[in-house]
Amino acid sequence: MKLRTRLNLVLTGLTAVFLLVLAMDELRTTRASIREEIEAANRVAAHLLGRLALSYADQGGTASVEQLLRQLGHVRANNITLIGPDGVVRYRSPPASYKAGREAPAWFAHLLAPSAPRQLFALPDGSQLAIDPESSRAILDAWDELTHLALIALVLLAAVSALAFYLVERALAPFPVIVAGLERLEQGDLTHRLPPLAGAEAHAIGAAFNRMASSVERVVQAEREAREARSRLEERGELARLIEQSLEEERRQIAHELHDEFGQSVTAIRSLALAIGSQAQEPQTREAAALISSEAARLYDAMHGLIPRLTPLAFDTQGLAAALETLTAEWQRRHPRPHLSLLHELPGEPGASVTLAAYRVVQEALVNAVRHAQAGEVAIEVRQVGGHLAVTVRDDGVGLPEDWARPGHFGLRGLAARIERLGGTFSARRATPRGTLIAADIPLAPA
Amino acid sequence: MIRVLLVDDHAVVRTGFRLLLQAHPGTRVVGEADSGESAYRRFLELAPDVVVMDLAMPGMGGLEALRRIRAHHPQARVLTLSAHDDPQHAQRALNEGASGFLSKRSAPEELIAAITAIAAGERYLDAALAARLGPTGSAGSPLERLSEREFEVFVRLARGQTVPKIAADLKLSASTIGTHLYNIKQKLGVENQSELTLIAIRHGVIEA
Repeated sequence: MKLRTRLNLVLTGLTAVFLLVLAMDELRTTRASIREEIEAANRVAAHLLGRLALSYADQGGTASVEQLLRQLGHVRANNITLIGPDGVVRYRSPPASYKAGREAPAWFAHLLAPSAPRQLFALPDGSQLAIDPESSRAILDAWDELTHLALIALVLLAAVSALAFYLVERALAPFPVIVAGLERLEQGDLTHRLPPLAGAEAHAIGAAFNRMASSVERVVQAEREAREARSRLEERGELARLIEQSLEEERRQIAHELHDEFGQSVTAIRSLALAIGSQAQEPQTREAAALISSEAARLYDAMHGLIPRLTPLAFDTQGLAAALETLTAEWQRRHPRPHLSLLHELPGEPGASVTLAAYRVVQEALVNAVRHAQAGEVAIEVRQVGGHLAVTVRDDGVGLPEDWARPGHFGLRGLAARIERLGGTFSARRATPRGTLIAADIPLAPA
Repeated sequence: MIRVLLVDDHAVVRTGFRLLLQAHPGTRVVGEADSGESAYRRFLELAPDVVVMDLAMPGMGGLEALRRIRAHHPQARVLTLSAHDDPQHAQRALNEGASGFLSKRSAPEELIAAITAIAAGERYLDAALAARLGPTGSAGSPLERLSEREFEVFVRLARGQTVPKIAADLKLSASTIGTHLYNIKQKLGVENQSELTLIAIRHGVIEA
């Protein structure tokens, strides 16, 4: 059953019970007062009439009694009957003219009628004067009063019920709105808010609902933003990885091209220049040929100097260890100072990306040590420890600038990002007492 | 007159070398090939005194062609060329039985000297590479600076044995071998095992 119906029923029921109890009480009181009234009237009337009738009978016989009675007419609350000695009714008092012709319902009369006995007075000639209590008028009065009261009660009941109905309706009106709001929320419409609700409690509930919805919306929004930010970051990382990959591939191809194709051309040019030079008779031609050869040789060297910076070709045929050895040897040859030392412990070959990252760390650290740090000693260590490749490069130079991590230092920053993408850690910091320590720890790619 | 077979997939390089060799009265180019396969065929046809062969070629590379030629004609003299001037490439070529190794950087100047030396039955190693490996010859050979134990370890290393294997064979600890290795590298001034092997080959300690 709906709350509204229940509340209405309870209120109407209570009012009805209350009215019923009032009616019962009224009935009881009325009944008592009718009995008292009828009894009193009957007793007085009977007493007086009895005496009067006896004295009239003494003087004028029954006929004068009858005359007296006829003159008397109706006596309130009593029916008077004169019965002859032969048992024939000689006189019956007329019915009351008060509310003549109307009677209370029988069941009501029965309910209220007092049980006063008939009083009989024997006259000398054998006639009898009977006085019966007559409560029908009083009962009719009571009935009229009661129906009047019932009418008022009914009107009252209707009014109370209507008022209750209206108040309950008003009090419960916010509930369907709240339920609808919750359903909207449940369906994911987090922007839904309740309108201001009537009634202090409903208003408080509505306000609390709106606060809750706001905070839910905020939390969901924050979560969505965090998720989006995360996926954007992942996408960016993925993009960076792809760019790096294609960059490395491009570099590798350029390096191969330089090495295999251009190198061959330079070799051919030099051979031809030398052939011309050795056959030429004129000194100018020989000189020009020698110049072509030496310039071509310079071109060759410059080109080959570029190759290791582009990519370590040694990976293609040898491992990381050999590539690092070649790298340090080349650097040492080009830059006698600082002194480079290389220690590697590589029982197996790490994956291509790890190998390249480790190589780039050493390469970048060498650039830093040789170009910026003015170091005297550089110690390079590359070890495979458990499932990790640990690369450290330590120099005794002037150390890193304080702001190496700021934008602009692409080399080290790029390395840090690259190693982080491989799930490793990278650090570049001032070593104690002096110099720089560049360290990378890269997890080996699962085989 | 030294009869030379030129093998290189770059026609312009062959032309350069041919002109260079033609300018020299002691050499003559009798044939050319642009792949390992045709090199082998031309070798059988021409029986040249010296084969000048690029290691990097499409298809069957120079190393494989060298292997085939040497397998049928152990006396064949092959001068290998490579765009790579690192000791590892030289070592591999010499291990496969090449008589000499030249980087393409040095080839134009050293080609005639290398061909002449190889034709005379000598070995020839790129001068720049040789310079990196220290002086050669019995007089002041760096190998004489090694102790007997170090020399023993050196020979095994040069043959490509690993440190643990040598330790087990010599019944020494790996760290002792490691110390020997360190000393050997210091005394010979080499960076890695490939250079070590090359020195061993050049000094005739092991057969290529």
